[in-house]
Amino acid sequence: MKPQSLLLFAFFIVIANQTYAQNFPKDTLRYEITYDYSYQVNKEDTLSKQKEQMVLKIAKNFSFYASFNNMKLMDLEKNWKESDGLPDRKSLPRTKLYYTIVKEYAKNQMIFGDSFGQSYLYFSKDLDKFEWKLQEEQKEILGYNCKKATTEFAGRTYVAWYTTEISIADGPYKFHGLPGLILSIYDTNKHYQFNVASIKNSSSFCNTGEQSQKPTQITYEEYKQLKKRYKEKPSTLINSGGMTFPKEMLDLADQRAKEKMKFENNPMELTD
Amino acid sequence: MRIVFWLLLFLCNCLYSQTTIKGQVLDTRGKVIVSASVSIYKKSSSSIIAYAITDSRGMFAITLISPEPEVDLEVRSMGYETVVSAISNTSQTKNFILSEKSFVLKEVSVKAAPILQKGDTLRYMVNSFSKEQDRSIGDVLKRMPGIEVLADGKILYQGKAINKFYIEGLDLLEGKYNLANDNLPYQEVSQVQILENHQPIKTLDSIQFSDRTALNIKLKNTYTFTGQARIGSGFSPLLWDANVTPMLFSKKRQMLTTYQTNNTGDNVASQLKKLTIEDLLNQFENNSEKIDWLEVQQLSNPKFSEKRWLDNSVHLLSSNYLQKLKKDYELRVNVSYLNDYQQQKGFTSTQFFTPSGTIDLLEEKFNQFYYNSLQTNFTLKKNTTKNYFKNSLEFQGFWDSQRGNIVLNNEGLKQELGNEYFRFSNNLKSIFSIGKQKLVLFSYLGLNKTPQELRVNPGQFEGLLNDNTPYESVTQNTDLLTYYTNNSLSIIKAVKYFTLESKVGLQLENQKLNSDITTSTNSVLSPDFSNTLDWFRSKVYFDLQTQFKKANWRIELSTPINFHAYTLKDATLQKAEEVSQTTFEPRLNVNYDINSYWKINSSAGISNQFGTINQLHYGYILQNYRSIKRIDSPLPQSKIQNYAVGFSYRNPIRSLFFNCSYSNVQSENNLLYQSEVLANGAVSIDAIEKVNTRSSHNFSTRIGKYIPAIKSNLTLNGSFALQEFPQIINTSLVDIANRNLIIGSKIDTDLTDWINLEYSGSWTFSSNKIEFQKQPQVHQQNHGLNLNFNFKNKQYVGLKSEYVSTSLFSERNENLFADVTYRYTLQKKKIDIELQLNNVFGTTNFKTINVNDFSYVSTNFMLRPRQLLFKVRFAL
Repeated sequence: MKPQSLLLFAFFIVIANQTYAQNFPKDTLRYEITYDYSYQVNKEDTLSKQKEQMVLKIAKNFSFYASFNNMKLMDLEKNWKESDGLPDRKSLPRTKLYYTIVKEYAKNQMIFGDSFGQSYLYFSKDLDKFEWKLQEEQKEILGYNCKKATTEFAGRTYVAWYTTEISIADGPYKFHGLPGLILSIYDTNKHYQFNVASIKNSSSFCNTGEQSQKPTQITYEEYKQLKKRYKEKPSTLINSGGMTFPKEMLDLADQRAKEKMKFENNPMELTD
Repeated sequence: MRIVFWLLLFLCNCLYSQTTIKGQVLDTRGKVIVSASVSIYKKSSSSIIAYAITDSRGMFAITLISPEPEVDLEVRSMGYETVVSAISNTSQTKNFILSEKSFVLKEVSVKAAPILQKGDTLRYMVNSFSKEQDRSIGDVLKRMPGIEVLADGKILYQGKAINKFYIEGLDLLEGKYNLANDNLPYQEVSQVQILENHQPIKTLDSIQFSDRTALNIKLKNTYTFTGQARIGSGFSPLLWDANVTPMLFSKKRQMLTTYQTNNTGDNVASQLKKLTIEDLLNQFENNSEKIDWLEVQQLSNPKFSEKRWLDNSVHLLSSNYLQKLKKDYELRVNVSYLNDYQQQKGFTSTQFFTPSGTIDLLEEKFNQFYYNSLQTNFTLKKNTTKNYFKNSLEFQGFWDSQRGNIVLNNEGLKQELGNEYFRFSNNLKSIFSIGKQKLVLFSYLGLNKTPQELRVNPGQFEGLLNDNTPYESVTQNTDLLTYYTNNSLSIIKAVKYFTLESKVGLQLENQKLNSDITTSTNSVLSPDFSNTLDWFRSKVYFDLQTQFKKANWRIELSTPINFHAYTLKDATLQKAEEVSQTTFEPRLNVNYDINSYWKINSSAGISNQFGTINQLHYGYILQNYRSIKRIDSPLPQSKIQNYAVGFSYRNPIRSLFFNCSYSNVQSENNLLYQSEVLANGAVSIDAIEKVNTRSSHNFSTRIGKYIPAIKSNLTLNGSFALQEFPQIINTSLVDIANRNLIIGSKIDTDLTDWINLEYSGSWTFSSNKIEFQKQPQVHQQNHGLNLNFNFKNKQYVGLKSEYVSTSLFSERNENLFADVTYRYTLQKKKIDIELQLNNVFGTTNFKTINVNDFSYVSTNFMLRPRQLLFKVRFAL
């Protein structure tokens, strides 16, 4: 079993119907925007590009951003009953991106959640500040007239295309703050690219706090440390959930993680 | 001081002034609006100079440096009215109150690639191929590259017939897929999936490979109730056309029921034809297809759209139901009833080419066909990864009859035929797992009866039947009763890359043919004019099938040994024959995938064929008014060698499909048939024992490409066939060679947003050579051009034209047909109102030419006249 599948397994074993949604906004959605996200994990190897579809759900006062398949997984869990038995692993939607981002415009606050092993952790901090430089250039994306803007973020320069026809100052990932929705954004190396795939009206209900596990709040600093530890030695986190796995499996997971870390030398955020 | 002040002011005016505009954005109830964008535009332009986003208190502050004296300020927020106001470029505080306004985004999404590939599955996105004028899924299927739909509705993928047609993975119609293709609205379908190398039996999935392709219809919703209803009328004569087809598809249950009736030339009976290759093979193997022993002399049908010439009056009722039961069983019931009355009018001129000259015959024909048939099928099936079970119980009854009137050299001739057929069969296949081995049990039991009668008035063959004196009528009776059973047991075992199947089986067939000829004068005929043939056939077979699959190779070798035994006996005629023979009929298939685009397949095999009862009967049978046949010969036997090789290329990303194949068949036969053309034009057939070889070469190729940029689908195809065989004509042996070359092309393109053009054309060149004498070439061209206009207000105009040209000798026959359709769609209620004018030019007569082995037949066929039809169609 791969470490990922191990995690997935653990993911379904632990059932916590209890949700902790005190700080998490919920509301009826207005729009759902999907983006094709492509990212290159190795600096040199252009073949190391990975793809996933991401969703930005927009309500009146907040937005919720996550991988499309991750959202599907969350929905599955929500409706899962013990009597259903374990689902066929092959039939489950697959994702490599477990993080979620909630942007609350009024509070100028972001809730960043991520799952490590069997726990779902989150921290909240102020929304990132972007110094957008508006450009004259314009182009059409999916029939929407877009304007160009550039910014620096975490060590990379980004080009964004936003449309004033949708006056929502939001975008994929942590990006926001333009006088219109960002439909396309990419860094100048084109290692990280987000391109709009669909724009839909929506009226479904979204509770950003509805997670499979009880979310645990940590600080941003703690998160960074955990992330580092998880990358370097995942075994320390896999075992912490009350279930024990054989040592060989854990060693293998650590070994794999090391190799993975060596190869994946091109993170999106180069600086804090 | 004053100077300094002026100087400063002057400087300030020269440099860009810095201004700050700030304020608050509120809604009409005084609540703050957060995250609204406040943008400053250069006066009447679309370029933003500066902007701000309101904070949690609805506040904004914009600092701008600009020489413009006046700028536009725009406040936007989702769900509120946008406010634009021209302001002077001076620092100021400006508050805004926005009124609420619901805002709906224009929904868009990136167009998915039209064809996606994942492993052995190709997915065709229906909305990438559908056009405004389409109605059923069959209309869209025709446009998908790599897929070809023949005139009878048969679906080919890369030149080969599909082996299964599923709807949501279930086989509701078992080969009669025209029922769904013609009636399922394409809007309900999200994808058409092509499953390559499809093994329909799940328990054999990883064990036995298959190179057949299946098609699966993927619906948009898991629960779908749909279908269509159509009603139409027109003239002249009074025309009607109705179709009510409700369907239901859910996870547990599928249902398709249809009632269709028309006299507009739409041959809905073709929807009951089994089209999947597997079911066709079964039909052949079990000789369960209706064979007519006797016939009314027919007109050969024109080789273009049936709708132009078929004079029918049909009623079709078909109900198909599939229900999933407990323990993975599914029960399927198919019941179909068909009633049709068809008429044919025209005249035929036949020229028989014989070494001693030509014989001419002119016949004026009026034929009436009455069809009345009931087909039922009850199937219980279980298809899981562990076990397989399928039992089908079938009954078919055909109460058909025909009437034919011929004016032959100014004399009338009447034919009356009753050609009934009844069949009852049970087919069982069961697969169990025993450890890692699979045990396959197969059993087929069939019983059929063919009671047929032909009466010809006045009596024919006076010389043979009535002492050379003319007489009133002759009646031929035949009755064939067949019992057939085939049973086998096999064990399938997978060993590494190999799969071995060892099979042992037994086939038994007993046929009793009773026939006699009676004349109106009750003349005493010799026993030569009746048959009481008792035909018994048995086959014991052992077969070892080896499959090898590794990497890109798939090899299959079948090595059956068959023990055949035939006992034929006609007690009255005191004729009998016994044949027993052991045959070895190996067959090798090799498939190699060069890469994910290119594939090669090849096969070679030897097989033996023995004659069937209609190729051997000792007494005479009057097959039609001018053919009386006795085949008093040894059992026909032939040894067949065949070789085939094919290449195929498919690139779903570029939507490019290509295939080409060559095959060669050589058969060595023990009999030659002598067709003696008598002075009155009647043909008498005798068999002569003489070893002879027939050979045929076939080459075919097809290329299809979809160009998304211009939404066009292009197809080119070509085929060439050469057949060589000897034949005895009027006692001399002649070598005959037939050549046939067909070239075709198809284009489907959108000229503009609202004009779509479909063109298809084919050129056929046939020639035949008797000995070294070349007969004139027959050359036929068919071109069809359709123009579809989809106007904005849901109106559609379709112009259909068809050009057919035939040339033979120096004669050239040209025909141009045209139809006009006007359709208005009431979008909300999904109702189509349609007006059709068919055969605009009113062409009523069509001449076709047929090349037989030793004759040319030119037929003048009465076509359907100009007709006007009004139709209303609802989606259910």
